[in-house]
Amino acid sequence: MDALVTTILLGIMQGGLYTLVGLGVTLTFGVTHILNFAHGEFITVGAYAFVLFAGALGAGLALPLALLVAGGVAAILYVVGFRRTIGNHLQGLAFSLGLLLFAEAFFVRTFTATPRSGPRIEGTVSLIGEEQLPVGRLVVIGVTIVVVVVTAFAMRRTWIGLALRACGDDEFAASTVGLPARRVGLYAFVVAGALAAVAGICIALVVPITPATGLSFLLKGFVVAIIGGLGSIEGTFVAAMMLGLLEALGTRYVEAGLTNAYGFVLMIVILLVAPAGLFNRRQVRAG
Amino acid sequence: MSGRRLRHGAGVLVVGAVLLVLAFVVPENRVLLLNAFLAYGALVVGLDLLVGDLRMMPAGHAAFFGAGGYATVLLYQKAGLPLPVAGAIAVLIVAVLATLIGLPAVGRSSGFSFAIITFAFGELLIQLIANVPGFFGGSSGLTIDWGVGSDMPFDFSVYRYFTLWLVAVLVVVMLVVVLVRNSHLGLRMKAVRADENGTRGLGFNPTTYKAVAFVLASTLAGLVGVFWAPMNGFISPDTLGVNQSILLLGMLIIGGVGRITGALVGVALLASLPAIVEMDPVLRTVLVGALLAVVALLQPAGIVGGLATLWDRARRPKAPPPADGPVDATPEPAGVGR
Repeated sequence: MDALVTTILLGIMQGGLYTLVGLGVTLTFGVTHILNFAHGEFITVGAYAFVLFAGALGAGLALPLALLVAGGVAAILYVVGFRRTIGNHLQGLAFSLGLLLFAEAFFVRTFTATPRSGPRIEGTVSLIGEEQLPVGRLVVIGVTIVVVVVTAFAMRRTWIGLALRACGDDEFAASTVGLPARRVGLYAFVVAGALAAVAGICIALVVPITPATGLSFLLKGFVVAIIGGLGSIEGTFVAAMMLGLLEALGTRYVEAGLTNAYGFVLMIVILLVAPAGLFNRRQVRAG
Repeated sequence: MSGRRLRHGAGVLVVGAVLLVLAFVVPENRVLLLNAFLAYGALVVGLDLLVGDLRMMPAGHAAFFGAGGYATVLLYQKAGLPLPVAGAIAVLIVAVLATLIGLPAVGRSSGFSFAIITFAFGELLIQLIANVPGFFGGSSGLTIDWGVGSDMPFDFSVYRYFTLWLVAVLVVVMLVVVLVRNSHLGLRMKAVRADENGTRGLGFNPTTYKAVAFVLASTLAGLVGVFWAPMNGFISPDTLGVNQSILLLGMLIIGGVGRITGALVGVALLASLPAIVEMDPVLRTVLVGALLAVVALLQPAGIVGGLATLWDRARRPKAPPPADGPVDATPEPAGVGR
């Protein structure tokens, strides 16, 4: 019983991180129709910026700085590159694949492949019974819940959220009421970069990071964004929680070596049954 | 049409002859380099059937290359079959695997989800290999101890012996691509690329042609793996990985899609040149990635495509394009179309 509760909590934590990544993927796709393979590198940028700044300036200052760096990198990449590739899938895909190769190898060259750990939150608490839970993971659960709720609220209530949703629904109609898709795409990339940086910081709080951290989370982000139906925020959240719980339970009770396989099998099965994803209202296929 | 087929076929045979001469005269310490060029060349030219002719982006092409290699090695090592028989069966296995994966992937997904789903299948294959170390050798890979090596024809070393086979593979792949492009199948693939729903209206099922191209390209990749694994003497899950697949796509896009010369230029530029100047592999990846991003932005038709456009412009200085000219006279940049 205790073990089950712990496993479920771990699953929720993973699901929360996947939500953050998947939200970025789905937001940028909704507005610009770019499936950004380099999105995972925003996570790596955020995580490394946090660890490096925390070492130099302390964790309090490092937090906003890491968000700023990742959001800034996302904005620059959008203005320099992705803005020109809108409307051409192959070009956008090729550009982001190039960035992915470049960034990962660049991180390996600059920071080496050895794992680095940032400021860890130490200590454990026992919630129920004997099982000990690390405080860091509970903090991560709290942070992701807050960020996801704030994002969902902002998407409904703020001007930027409205603009993002409008452009995602119908680019042409949005442009007739004065919302240029290319400008709104910039907002989408900045928000996605910041969300990825939050994910990166959370990851750095609980496990050591390597240059490959971003890519492994990006894959899960893709899986949840596609299962949920690209462009759908609720879908991403539901899919991320499904995947996180499936992985945690599967690792604990079935076979630990196959953790990464569960998500891919889940995605393949769901895509075979519902090619547009679970929550795609307009029945638009990805691509 | 048939004139073009003859011309392209003759071009392929000339390239094959040049490579065959190279296989004999290249110095011993460069043989591996030539082998790598031949193998990458065959992979990228085959991949172009999907990217160039259909605008499909498989992100797991290397998985089939690895599957061919693994199947050969396992059949040779564990089942004790002679190498040619093992290779032939391995090609069949890859074809069956490609059909099993391709039919659902092509039929149920398009664009990005196709890229992701092929990618997921590739990762699943790696998981399978890493989790069954007893049979597949696990993540550390398999070494091949072969009986060949002592008495090669022409007193060749083992590596140079396989160079001959790899030349043959590259020529076969190029011939297949030329034949497909200049056939009715190629025309229909062109129609699918231009307008999928329109093709459906003409009574052709686009999924069929996509599936045929997918199985063909994947089987060709498997064929390369069949000869690469015994030549290399070692195979590991890294050869199947996503980095490898992206590298293949990168070489193709930087060189130029839709042309055999584009694919070969990409391979020479990104695989052979860094090896000649003995560049650090990580630095090479940095450069390939940066170049891929820049080329994708500035010249989506790739280096050869860009040169061809310049050449066309230089040849016809100011004349407007003829209104009733042949449709495929001007090379279509990768940017056009969907």
